[in-house]
Amino acid sequence: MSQPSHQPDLPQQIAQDLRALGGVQAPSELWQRVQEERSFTELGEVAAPEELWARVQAELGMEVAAPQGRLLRGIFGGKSLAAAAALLIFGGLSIFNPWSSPSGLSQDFVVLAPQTSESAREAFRSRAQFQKVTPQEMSSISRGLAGSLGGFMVEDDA
Amino acid sequence: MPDPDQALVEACQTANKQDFDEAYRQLFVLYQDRVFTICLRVTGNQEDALDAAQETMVTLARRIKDFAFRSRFSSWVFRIAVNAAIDSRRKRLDAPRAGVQTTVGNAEGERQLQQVAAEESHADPVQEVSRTENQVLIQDALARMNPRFAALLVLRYIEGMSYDEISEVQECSLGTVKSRLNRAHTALREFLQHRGFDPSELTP
Repeated sequence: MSQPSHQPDLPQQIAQDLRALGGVQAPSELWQRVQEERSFTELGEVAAPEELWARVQAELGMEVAAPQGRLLRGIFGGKSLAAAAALLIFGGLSIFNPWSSPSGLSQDFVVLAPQTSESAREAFRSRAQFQKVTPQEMSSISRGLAGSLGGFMVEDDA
Repeated sequence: MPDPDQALVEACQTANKQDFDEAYRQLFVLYQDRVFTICLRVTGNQEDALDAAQETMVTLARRIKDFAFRSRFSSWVFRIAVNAAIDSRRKRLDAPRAGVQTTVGNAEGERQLQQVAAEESHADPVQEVSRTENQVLIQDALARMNPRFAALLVLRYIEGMSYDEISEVQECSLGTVKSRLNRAHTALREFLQHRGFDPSELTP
């Protein structure tokens, strides 16, 4: 580095004392710490193998062909959970909209229902605690959600 | 004028992992002391300086492939070091660490200062002690003033950079460097005067 080309604006003695603070040797520990951090960060984030989805699918006994999360992530750029919830609520409201006609209700349900296979329903049912309620005890949103998750039959039973 | 580090930097950018490690190691050896000195003088204590120097060197390794020689490599390294040291100072102000002291009152820091003073002044022991005291006070001033000002004084006086070189490191205009350096001088003078320096000693 070249020496300063301008006259310093500090007294010469102070400038000299400042310069004397230079030339400190880095401790040898620095190299070790840097190497440790580099090797640690090189482990980094590893992409999950494709096999992972197949194994989870087999474990749950599901027949769904493609992971819904990936499909939605592709469409909604990683906000799949929020997008799925929004779709579910929108779908539920569409089905049980008090202003819609009864024929519209059954038509919408037909469109949504095939997305959830019977075995998938069973898989989710086995993980949930059920409480039987009549449709009249539920809000329109709850009825919509229940319908899209296969709880429509409860209404039929009632 | 070609960058003196160009060959090593390009070796890091194009090498396989083993060659990268070798080229990186050479750059590390070239810069470790200067990076550590900047970090020590801006943070004012060994522990934060070590953290900041570590962060600087790790950042260097991670980002060297993207370095495009728009500035000198050394300016880039010092910029990372200054920013890491300033960040470290801010973090310590937010959450002071137990047991961390500035160089003042720190035996290792004072020993280093005494060693430097002894090497430079063999003639008069009284003058030697006085100079060491001044250096301790100046280090204290650096550790307490606005870290951006401290960094400027370190680059200018300890690293011996010209205004042009500082403006490259700080990515600001020459006028900004001059005006900030002026304010840094004033801050240092005021601190030293407050600590009992004779005002006549503080005017050029």
